[in-house]
Amino acid sequence: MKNPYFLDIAITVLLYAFLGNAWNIVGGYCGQASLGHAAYYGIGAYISTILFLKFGISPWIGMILGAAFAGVLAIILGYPSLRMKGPYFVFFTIGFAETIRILFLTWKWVDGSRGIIIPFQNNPVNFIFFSKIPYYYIVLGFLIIGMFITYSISRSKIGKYSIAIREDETMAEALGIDTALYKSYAFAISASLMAIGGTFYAQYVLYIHPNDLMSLNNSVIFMLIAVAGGKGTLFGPLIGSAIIMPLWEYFRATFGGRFAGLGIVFAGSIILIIGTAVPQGIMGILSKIHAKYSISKDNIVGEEK
Amino acid sequence: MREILQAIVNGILLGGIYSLIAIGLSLIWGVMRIINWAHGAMVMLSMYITFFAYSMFRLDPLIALPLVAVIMFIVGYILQMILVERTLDSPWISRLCATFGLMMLLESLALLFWSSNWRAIPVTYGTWTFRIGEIFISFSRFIAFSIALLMALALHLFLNRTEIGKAIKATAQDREAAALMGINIHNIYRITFGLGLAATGVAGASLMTFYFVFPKVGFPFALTAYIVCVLGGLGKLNGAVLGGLIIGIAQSVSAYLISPEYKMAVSFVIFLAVLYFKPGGIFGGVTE
Amino acid sequence: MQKSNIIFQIREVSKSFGGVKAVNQVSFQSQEKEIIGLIGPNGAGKTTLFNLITGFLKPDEGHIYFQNRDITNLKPHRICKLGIGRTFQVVRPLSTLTVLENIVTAALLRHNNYKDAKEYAIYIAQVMGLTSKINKIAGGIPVADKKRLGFAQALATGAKLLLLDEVAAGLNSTEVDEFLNIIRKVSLEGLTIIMVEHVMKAVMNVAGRILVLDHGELIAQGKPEEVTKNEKVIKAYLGDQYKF
Repeated sequence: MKNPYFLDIAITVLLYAFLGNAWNIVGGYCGQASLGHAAYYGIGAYISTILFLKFGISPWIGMILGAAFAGVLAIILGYPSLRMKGPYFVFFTIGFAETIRILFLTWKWVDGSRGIIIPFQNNPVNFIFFSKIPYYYIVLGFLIIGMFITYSISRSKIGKYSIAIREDETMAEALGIDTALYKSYAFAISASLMAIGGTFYAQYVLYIHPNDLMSLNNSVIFMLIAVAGGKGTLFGPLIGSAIIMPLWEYFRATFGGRFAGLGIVFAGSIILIIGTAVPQGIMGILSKIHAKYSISKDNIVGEEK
Repeated sequence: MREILQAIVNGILLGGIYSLIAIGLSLIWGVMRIINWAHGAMVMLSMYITFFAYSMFRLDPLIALPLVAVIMFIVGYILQMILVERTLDSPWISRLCATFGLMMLLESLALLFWSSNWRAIPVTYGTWTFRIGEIFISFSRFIAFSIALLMALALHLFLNRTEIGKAIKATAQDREAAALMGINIHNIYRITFGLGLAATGVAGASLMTFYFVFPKVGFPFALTAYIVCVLGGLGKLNGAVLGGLIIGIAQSVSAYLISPEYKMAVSFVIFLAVLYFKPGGIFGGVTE
Repeated sequence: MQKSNIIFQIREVSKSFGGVKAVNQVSFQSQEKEIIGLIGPNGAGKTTLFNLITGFLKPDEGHIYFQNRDITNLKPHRICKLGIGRTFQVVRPLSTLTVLENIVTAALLRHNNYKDAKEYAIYIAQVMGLTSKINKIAGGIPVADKKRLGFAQALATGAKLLLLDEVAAGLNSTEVDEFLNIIRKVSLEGLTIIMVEHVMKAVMNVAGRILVLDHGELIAQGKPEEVTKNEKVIKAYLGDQYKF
């Protein structure tokens, strides 16, 4: 069957594609570049884990509850940020996520500073499996659902309104769009999906810690995956993840320790290059190629009037 | 009561350094509308340079300081020229990626070459303290604070009294008008970035008189610098000074009253409050 | 005698910026299907007035009523939903979307279903003469078409009152005439129009009533012929090269 090492990489790619897709909803389609999404990722993981370990509630249910909670939280906490523009908004999201991280770190009840280990009682109801294969199919399923959600949104009123808000918020208001409401929708959906990803992570790795989950690094990675692949596109996050995560894992696994730094050197270089040279991401490159091809097709067929 | 006063004094001393770091950041933003996400990493770089000046040449940080400042200026000038400049006309994402990627690169290279061990310089005056009434003041922190303020003053004079400085201010106000007046915008940007990094150079060298360096040391300084900038108003240099002192005091007092772990949390709460109630900061900086 | 139907009323509205009164105690009202021209020298406060009406600015004093409803402190999107549409002096299409998608976005206000919105958008595009351009990227079309697009979007939101901010600016004679025809057509269908204009030929030919704003104050109101002979109006324009 599949080699567990490759399965692990595949699962990582799919998980981060899922998370990048979640970020994309609010960052790519709606244009609100949040760098605080890791907070919802962590909150999802913590809620399902606490409910599981302290109250015996299955992580599947905990996942749904975590998602709902994250969605509501996103709306409430997002409210003050609705008026903020540009870098101030980015600062706000960073500050918000860091505050949550510190809160969890110092929270005795969840053993914040030590993290939580989930005992390995493998049982589908517990969302814990011995082999990696079920995890693979589960995260694949999540990704498909997540991308389907993004697809439906992009074809719906919420999606069109989000794009309008991204393009020109003032004009959006003038067209009758309640920008505060629609931004909140995008935030809520995005945060809920993030939380689901957090639960998956918790159940896969079986150890959670605020610094692993709610770090600024994570938030940036989610954004980068979507941006590298092409923000605001359906397949962007998948492409971005498929390229960045395997290489990242490769460096981390092969070198490890001090040389884990190499992986980040590499990631940093990619980010640098993509950022400066290709802001539209890989999808952008692909669509430019497609456009060129279409134009030449027109020339062959006849003159366009 | 005495302890709180001590905390406040220590906060002011550290705050001066926050101010200096924030001034560099605020200047870059004010002139080029770029958030330099690598600013903290630059402080780290300055600190390592200072450290190696000591370990290789036995230079005391305060002696090495001008050298470090010059080196960082050059680094900034070159970085602007080869990297940041290319992103000026691209969407904001490019600038974020460029400076953020730079930060990741610097931190990981530092980890690679210099390991994660803490490095410090055993300065001769490291343990000197003097007393004012019941308050103890560490000599090195006091020197660092004074240098920071002096540098801020120097920057202020430079911007207001020299030709180049005024050109920088003009560019910050209106890029196109400045270009029409014959100012070489790209050169101004490079000088500005260089100045911003030179400020981190001074801050880093000063820090090495009482602090220690490791690859990720820049991160909390960077976060604090962002908070200070927003608090004082992005682009407002006197705001950065005042903001630095306020945050320094807030961190120090909360570390004493609550616990050291909470000092960042308190800074964030202040930060979030400012963003919500007065997004322009104390001096009403640029909100665009 | 026909019973008049007052659709819009603005009463003693003022707005200051840092001590300067941009709009000073302006009052007027409009009946349904009227075409009102709002003229005045540069800086007279015309766009500020539009921003006050559409909710982008809050008046310091006074009230604004639309269809007998106080809209003074409502948010812009609420006001749009109630039926006031506007264009902007500097056109702002959603540049990376196509012309059709731009209009669809506007049409979604009254049609929850994407398909219905699209159908309606195609119809509006036809009314505005944009049919041949519907698949072009909005950022790349000529200015006159961008203005048409802005107009189309305002129409697509189902506006009953249309505020046009200098639609004729930068257009050649033919384009201006085309716009005037559309304005007349649209007015016949029941829309009320208030148009800010500098191009006198445009507004004098189509408006039933003219309002003149100077330094934030309404200095004259009346039929085009009356207003052009008004001394105060002529004085306000002295120094500008407008010829009547």
